[in-house]
Amino acid sequence: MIGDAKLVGAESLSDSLGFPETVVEVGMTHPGVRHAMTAVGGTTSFLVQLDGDRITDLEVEIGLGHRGFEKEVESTSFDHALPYVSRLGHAGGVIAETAYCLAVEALIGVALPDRAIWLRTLVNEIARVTDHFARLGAVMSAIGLADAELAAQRAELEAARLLAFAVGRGPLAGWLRIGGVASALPEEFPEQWIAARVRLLEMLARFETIAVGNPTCQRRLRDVASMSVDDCLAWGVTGPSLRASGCPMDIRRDRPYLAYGALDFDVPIGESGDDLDRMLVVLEELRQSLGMIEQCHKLLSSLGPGVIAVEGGETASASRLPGWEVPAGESVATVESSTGELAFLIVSDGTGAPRRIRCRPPSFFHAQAMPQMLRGARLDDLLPTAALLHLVSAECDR
Amino acid sequence: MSGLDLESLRTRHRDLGLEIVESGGSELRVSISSVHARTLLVRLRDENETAMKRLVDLTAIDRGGEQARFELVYRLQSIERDCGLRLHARVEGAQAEPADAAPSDSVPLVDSVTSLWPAANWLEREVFDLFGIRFKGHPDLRRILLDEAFEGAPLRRDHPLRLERPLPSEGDR
Repeated sequence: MIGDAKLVGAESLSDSLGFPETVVEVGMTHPGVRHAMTAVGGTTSFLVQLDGDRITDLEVEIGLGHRGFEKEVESTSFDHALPYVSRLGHAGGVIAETAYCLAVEALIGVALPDRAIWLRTLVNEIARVTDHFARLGAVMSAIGLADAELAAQRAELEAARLLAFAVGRGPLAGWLRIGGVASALPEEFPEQWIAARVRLLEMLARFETIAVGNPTCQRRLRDVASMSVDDCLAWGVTGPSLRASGCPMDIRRDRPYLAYGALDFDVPIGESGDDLDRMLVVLEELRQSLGMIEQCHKLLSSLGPGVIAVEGGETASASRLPGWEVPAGESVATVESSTGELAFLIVSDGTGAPRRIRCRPPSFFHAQAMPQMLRGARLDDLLPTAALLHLVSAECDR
Repeated sequence: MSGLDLESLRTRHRDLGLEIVESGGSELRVSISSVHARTLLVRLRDENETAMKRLVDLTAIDRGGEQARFELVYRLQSIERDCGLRLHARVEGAQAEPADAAPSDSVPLVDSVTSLWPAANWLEREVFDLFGIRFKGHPDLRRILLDEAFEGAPLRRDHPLRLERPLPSEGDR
């Protein structure tokens, strides 16, 4: 990296070196290739206009992974949506499924059994922990702190294993059902969770020691890509990035869904809305989520076995939408995903196929706000910022 | 959670033909003709009684009828008043287009709200891309999810689900 722009006086570095402004394309990578661009891991690409290593303008290109799932579902039936919806995130797909199911259930007027509510809450929080660790690993990879990256990846793996164990299947599991969930927790879940919780807390503490305390990390993230609360609201930035600016907005507390109204948790906020604050908010949210999982686990243990899904007619396991008639109407369900505010608007005309399904994807808004955040920053700041925003290409593209 | 006074909302915006339908959900549902949508949105954002500073989402619905076929949906939120509002703006007089009509031939034209909320920029581009609705005053109205060479507006009801029509390769454009 060449020194401060100050060194070359008022004129731009490119001018003084006799180069024109440079445009660099960053990405895209195949979604399966994690390490080339771990921060994004997908089909988003960035056209970066540079003066020296300063970003003068940025264009975020999305859409390469567009599946058109809204069209597909609008042409078929409500149950066709779930496999697409679960692909709206990595572990967080299950949170998107929750939003979709809640919206359809609101239309049908299903009252969920208690166990289903608590199970969904528990699994949502394990997914959030997985996603948050994934994002920390990506940030550390982007700023080159390999040991912290490894610590975060180990923790992500631990959380992902717990998630797979809880739902009894692998990632993109399709565990949610309209009216409940597909399976209860395995009998061995309590002991698995108790052991995993200890390990996750240890890993979190270790990560804090080697990352937050590291001067490189502080230098690379402080005052980078700052956003004020007003800017965040104007651009539709939500989730940890909005809270890092100091706005304590969290759907789980403000408009509680599932069992969040009965849980005890804090909503951490930052001050300056820079990358460092975003990371600190994510770290504290991890601690809060682990606390919530513990509360859900205790409550589920006290509930014991029982009904986990409302049956609309036939058996719940045979079909995803067993015997449900979806009446005409409109509903909106909003959840706090690991990325931000994720909502489904569903319009039904009573024919069995939805008239309109609209997903409000938080990453779409974050991608749009990136030029605003990054003008004037360095090229090196692009990937850590994308990682901290937890930009999910599948969400942008749908 | 609606912290809004419905009566005063109705009286204050009667001149724009505002209709209020309580959907029973977490947000109030109102509807209006798209001709007046922007005026109403400015009021909802700037008046103290509503203070809807946040545009949560913007999308469209193809109702499929002859009259008022398209509806734009603006979801707003007020943090001060702790309430949400969903505005359905009927785009009147829009005719059904053949699926492969170029977007420039499309009838629907609605005032852009990008100058009110910068977040509307990509949202309107997406509606333009997938529904072929044009926004007057948008600074950069072009496709966002689909390829520039794609023809038609796929989220319209009359656009077929499956269509074998390869995009031209880079050299042919």
